[in-house]
Amino acid sequence: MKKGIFLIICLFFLILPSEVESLEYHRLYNLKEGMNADEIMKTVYHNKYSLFCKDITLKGKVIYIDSPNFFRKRKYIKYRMISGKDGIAYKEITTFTYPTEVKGLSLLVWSYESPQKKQDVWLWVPSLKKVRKISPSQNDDAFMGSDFTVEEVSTRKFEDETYRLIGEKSFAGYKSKYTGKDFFKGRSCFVIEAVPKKKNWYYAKRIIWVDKETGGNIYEEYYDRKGRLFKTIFRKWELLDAGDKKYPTQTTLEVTNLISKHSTVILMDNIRYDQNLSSGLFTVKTLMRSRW
Amino acid sequence: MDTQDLKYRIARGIIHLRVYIILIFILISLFFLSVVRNIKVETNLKDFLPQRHHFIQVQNKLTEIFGGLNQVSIAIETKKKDIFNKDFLNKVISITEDLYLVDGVNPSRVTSLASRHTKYVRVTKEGFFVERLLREVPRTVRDMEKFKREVIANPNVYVRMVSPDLKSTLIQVDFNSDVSTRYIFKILRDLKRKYEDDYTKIYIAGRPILEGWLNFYLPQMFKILGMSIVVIFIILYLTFRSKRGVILPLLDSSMATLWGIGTMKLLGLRLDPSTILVPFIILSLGISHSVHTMKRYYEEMKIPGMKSKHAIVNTMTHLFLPGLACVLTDGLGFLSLTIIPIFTIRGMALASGLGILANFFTSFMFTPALLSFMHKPKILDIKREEQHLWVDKFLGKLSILSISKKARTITLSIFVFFSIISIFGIKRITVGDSREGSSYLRRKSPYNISESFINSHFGGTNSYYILAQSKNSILKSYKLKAIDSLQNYLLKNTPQAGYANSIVNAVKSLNFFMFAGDRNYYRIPEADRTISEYWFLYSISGFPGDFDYLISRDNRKANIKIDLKDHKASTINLIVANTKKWIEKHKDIKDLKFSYAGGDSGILYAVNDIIKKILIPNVLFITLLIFLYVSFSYRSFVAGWLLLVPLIFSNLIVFSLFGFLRTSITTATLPLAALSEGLGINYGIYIIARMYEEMKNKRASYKNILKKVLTTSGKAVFFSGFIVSLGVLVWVFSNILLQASLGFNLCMALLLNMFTSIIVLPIMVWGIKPKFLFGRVKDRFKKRR
Repeated sequence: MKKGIFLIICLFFLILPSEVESLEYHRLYNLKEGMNADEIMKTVYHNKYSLFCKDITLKGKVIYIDSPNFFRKRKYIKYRMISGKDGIAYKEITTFTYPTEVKGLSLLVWSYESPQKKQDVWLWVPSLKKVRKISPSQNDDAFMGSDFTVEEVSTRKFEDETYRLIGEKSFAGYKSKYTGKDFFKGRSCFVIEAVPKKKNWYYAKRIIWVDKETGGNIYEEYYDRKGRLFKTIFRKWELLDAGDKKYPTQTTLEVTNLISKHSTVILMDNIRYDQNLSSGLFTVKTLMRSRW
Repeated sequence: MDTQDLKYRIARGIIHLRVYIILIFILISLFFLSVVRNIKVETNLKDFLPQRHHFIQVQNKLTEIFGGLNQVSIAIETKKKDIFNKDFLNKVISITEDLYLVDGVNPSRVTSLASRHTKYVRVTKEGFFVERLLREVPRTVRDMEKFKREVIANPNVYVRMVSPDLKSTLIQVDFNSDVSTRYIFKILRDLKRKYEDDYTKIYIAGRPILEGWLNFYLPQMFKILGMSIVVIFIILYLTFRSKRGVILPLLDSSMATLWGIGTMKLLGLRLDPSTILVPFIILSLGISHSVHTMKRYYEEMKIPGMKSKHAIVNTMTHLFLPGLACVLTDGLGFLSLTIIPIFTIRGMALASGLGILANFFTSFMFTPALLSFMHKPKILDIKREEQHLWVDKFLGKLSILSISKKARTITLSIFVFFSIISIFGIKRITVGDSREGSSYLRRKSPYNISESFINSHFGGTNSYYILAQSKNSILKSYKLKAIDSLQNYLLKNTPQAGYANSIVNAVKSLNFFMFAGDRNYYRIPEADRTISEYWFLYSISGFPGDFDYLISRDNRKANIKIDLKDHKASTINLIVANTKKWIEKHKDIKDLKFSYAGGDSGILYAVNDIIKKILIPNVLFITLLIFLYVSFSYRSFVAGWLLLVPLIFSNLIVFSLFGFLRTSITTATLPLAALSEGLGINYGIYIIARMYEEMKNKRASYKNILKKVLTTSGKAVFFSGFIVSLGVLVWVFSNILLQASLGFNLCMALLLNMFTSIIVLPIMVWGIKPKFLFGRVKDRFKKRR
């Protein structure tokens, strides 16, 4: 009898992670009451990388708020194809369109399913008409010269942290530094504490507010080893129409470094899903064809 | 009413109103006592800079655009074979991580082997791969060897961050500009304590640390002030051997000192290494004047049947003019220093000047008023006061030097000889530092040891900045080529220039990587568009602010940094001359303007430049002031010359010592001329005033008059000279070299001034026999011959 109970318990623990890890590509998952921290975060990551769709295109604008009177802007177009085959998670092309003197500068990224495998990145320099393979940015490097780190916008994976559900709370709201508008006041959220597995990482923990409606991490607080809050990230998640479905999508990201008092905003529009992008688009040869 | 009558009436008036005078003085002192509480003791090296100098304005602009004024260098040395061991590298990582977490640290400006933007770049035919150089300690021997090879192969790391002997590494950290020096100093000293052990030594240098050490040493000056008071106390006792002889001069000069410091506080000044000298100066000078008052009082009291009050009135009558003359020349001498465009020297000059003027009231009004209330000194006191037979004998014999033709010739020849020799010394004077380390502190001070270690192990840490400005984007091929040409020219023609860094290095490196590491491509690309793309790629690899030290965010201003191996005046002058030469030759570059020079070296150049420009005009101004004042007082230009010549003698000798001893003129010595001339002239004024008085009233021989002058006023000069010079000599115990060297030089200058006043002045008087002194007596002497 005891042996039987032990076996059932073991089976339970074996089944649970496999349930969590088994989020399938090209399928939409919603958050449900009673989910544990891992299940919630798996869904958040699934949504973060738009793994529910086949492809996505968008136009992005990065606004650097250097001072209340001095903003800098950069614009780009992004094409992403969700693979889920041959160990490839997704392929992505980012092409810069502004400032005009760098128009056409592009990056091709192949991102892999295995947490151990590093991304492959190719750079297209239009003025030299050269493609160079470059190392992927490291996770704690800056993302596009902004206050975001690379992993905050793209590379962080579920496996990089351990999670604890703190509770369910109503979100107090966020006032945008760029537009001054208030967002998500009173939204029902899961509050999760995430601790990085890496030693001496740039943060000691983060507190994440996950919106139950969209399944997106709408607000994050980053704490350093001294327990000081040094960074906040706000993400505006929306449910966008994609045919007969509604896909959770980040349309605005806003980060504030509380030490340097610098903020960066990323605005995304013209977001289109499932345009049946060809895998041929995501090759070095295509990268070399300057079409932008 | 003649002047004598007026002085007498004033003296009588003061004694008549003595109660009110004492009360007013006490009230003013109580007011200043309430003011001086909580006066700040803090060093701000900005106050030591000539803010109106073009170079300082360039530096201020550089700081505003690129930041970086609060940079600190931390060198960590291992006592083991080299730095490539786990314990040491763990320490480097921990220190870097700790620094990231310090409040006020700009994380993008932490540079170390383990900092996030110190990268290792691997170039292949396919492309290039960038990784953080030291994220965690290499685990195996093989990994450690690989890491060592990567360090040695990286020109941005080897020598710049790791010393050539591989035994030390450098961490540089920038604190935000609003962070206080005191905080930075404390944080980094704690860090040093935390990580130093038997195998690890830590050296910390940089402007905030220098300020920190100066602040650390400043409170010790209060101990030195105490020592100074003890020295003065002893000399006063030896001079007067009475309680009132000690207490009254100390009391009135302390009062003037309090007024001086109070004025400082009211003017918004704080006590720093320069202004902290104010109390010493006022105290010493005040005592010097009081010594004359007391001496004369005792002298008057020797007259049989003299009443105390009468003696005081007589004393004041006699000392009123010379006292006023001394106070005015001293005070105005100091106030003349306010033309020096260095905030702290101005503050020191203003507070000292006003304090010295206050001395007149305390020494010549308060002390006599107080003295008039005291009982007549016992005859014993007067006798005691006169027990300086050896001094009397010595001073009496000095008169022979004037009277005897042979002695006169020999003495004058000696002075002339030394003056000629001193011209050779003066020619050898150098302005600006001639040695390593900060001139504010002693060579063996912990700070200078650290700075010297860092300079000798890491290529060069004396920064020299040039600002390149453009109305439009600076990211154009021809503009970057001009910057490249300038920095190459400076590196080639300045042997002490170790390394140059600007946006040009970043663009050239990226071009080099883009072309598979071909050395031929370590150059500026021809196409402006390629440059824009490179800079875009470079800028998106860092956080906002990471590259602020290279280029402004609007891409219109760029910073060129040259690291110099020393900050000797010769090195700085050479690089400034080279910069000027290059810019003049290339002044027609369209839409590109260069402004120089910032950084530690630019700042030092500005200070040296000001010293060169100010020193001689300042000396001449004070000299002229003294000459005009004395000439006016005695209605004779000869009188002016009589006082100036001995002063010039002694100052020539003092300044020649700078040349002979290879001590360079720095900000520390800037006030020396004013101090030495202003204080030194006092002795001459008291001597000549007494001579004037004696020659006018008595019909004794010159020999006897001279003997009397020397044994009365000469004696007061002798003692007050010792009091002031020994009072300032105690500064040599200060850990702040600036104060110690000023104290020593000033002591030398004052002693020389004192001796020339009692030796050269009488010789000149006897030789010239000026009409303002001899008048009708001169004719009498002629007839006798």
